[in-house]
Amino acid sequence: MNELIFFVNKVLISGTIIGCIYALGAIGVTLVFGILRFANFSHADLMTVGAYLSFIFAAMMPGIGPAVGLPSGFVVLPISIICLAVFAIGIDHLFYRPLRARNVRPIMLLIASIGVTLMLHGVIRLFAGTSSRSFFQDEKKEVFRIDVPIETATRDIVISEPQVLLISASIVCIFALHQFLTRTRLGKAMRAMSDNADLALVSGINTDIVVRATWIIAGALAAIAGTLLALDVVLKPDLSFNILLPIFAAAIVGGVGRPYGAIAGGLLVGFSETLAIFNWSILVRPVAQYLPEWIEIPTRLAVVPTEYKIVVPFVILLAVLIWRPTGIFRGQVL
Amino acid sequence: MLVSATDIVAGYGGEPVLNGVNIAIDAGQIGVIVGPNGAGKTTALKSIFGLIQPSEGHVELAGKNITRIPPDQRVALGIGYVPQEMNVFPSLTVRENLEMGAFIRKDDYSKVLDNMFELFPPLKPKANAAAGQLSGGQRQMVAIARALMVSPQLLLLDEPTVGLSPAFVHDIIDRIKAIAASGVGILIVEQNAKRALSIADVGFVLVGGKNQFTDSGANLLQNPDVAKSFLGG
Repeated sequence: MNELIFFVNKVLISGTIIGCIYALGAIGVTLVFGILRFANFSHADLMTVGAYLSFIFAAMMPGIGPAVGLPSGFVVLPISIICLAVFAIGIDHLFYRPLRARNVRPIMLLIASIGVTLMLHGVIRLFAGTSSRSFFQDEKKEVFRIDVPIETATRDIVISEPQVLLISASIVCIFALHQFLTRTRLGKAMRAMSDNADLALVSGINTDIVVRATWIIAGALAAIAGTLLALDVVLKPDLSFNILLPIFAAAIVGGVGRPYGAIAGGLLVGFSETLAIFNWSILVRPVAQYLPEWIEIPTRLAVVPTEYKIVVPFVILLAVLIWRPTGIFRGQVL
Repeated sequence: MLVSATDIVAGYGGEPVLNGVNIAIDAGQIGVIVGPNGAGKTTALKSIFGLIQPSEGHVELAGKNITRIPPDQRVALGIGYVPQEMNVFPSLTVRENLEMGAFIRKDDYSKVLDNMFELFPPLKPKANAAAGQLSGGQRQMVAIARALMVSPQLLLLDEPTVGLSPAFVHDIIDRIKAIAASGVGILIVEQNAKRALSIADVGFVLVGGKNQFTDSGANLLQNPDVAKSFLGG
């Protein structure tokens, strides 16, 4: 029984957590691609900027978290969302819009986004240094231990407060995004422009407003994902740059330009990673006594060692690109 | 005149495709642009909608010079445009496609929406189906209905019957006649000259980027020169 709880902790919970982060990131990447037709490599660093914004706001307002019984970094999230949305629009005005006005090819925008990501990277290090910080210096990170009411189970299911917040926030975001895209005029216009930008223009849809809405949503999702990721682990300058590639893998696996695909892709990549590094020998151990003696169970029995888990999204990405380049939800080909 | 394009010279950079084309129709009229491949039929239509900026000549809508106004703003002035290909939003439902046509409307357009389902009855049961899953003919109906959602004075159709089965062609042509009867001016680019001229109040035969013949549809059909060169004898 303990082995099963171990599996729940290490795979179900961890996989959901990392899957939610990938999904939130991939939705941002996929929306920007759908509307503006370029792979935005700066999205991951936008997430990091969002996390730092939350850190600054939380430091400016000490005690705001304990007052409502939630981590301060989470309580200030609405402010970070607004700031990062404005920030994202600002970046578009400074860098991407002038390029679009000159009708450059999408590859130029992609290169520009790599430039933006390096710049954001540098700016963060310039102001915040390279060391990692914790949102929980003066606050206690609450950890829930759920007792399993079975006699043979001595271990608990463990989940931290930031993780619960992350899962709930992801569900709320996805639900809100779905409502926005299917119920509102602007949301439908976003889908229309993603479907056929030329036709959107000749239909009289104001594409400038759609572009702005896209950056607002991308910025908001980046602030949420970045902050919650930093709350779960630690805040550091390469917080989300490290997960840029899994995020892209998730967007492509789901089908580029398809927000629901990004969610599926994020969870798929997240669970594949945790399943691949899970030590299966722990699950096998209880049945060891029934196996013939010549079978010896190694102490570690994982598909890939933990330090190589970055290969998992790559393997999935390669498989998808070879056998189904449009992704699960039939998106555009990059 | 509802719309008049005068002495239009336009192209895609390099040699102009149009070398002084004149097209004009009145409200409620059906104007048809025919001619051999490469004559500049689609280019003429795009110039009138503003997708191509003419280097010479001017376009007027109800007496107002609109030559320099970008296409998305011409929609607000009352011009609906249906491109030849990729003219629906495939992942949006039929109803959402029509709503997108009404994006610039600030008023309550639910009546216009109902009217579209009356004008194109086959769309009614498909209102909540993705436009990409419809047949070619139904898709064409969605495309025309989308352009009509702004209640335009002028409707521009680029080869609306291309690739459709004969039954659907008949259907679409009937609808076009009904729309014109309601007072909308319609300009159609057509490959099938004989069929198009038979419903035309005015026909414009373009050759090499110039008006070769301009006359009523009936007269053009009887004109032996037109018949010899474009109607297959």
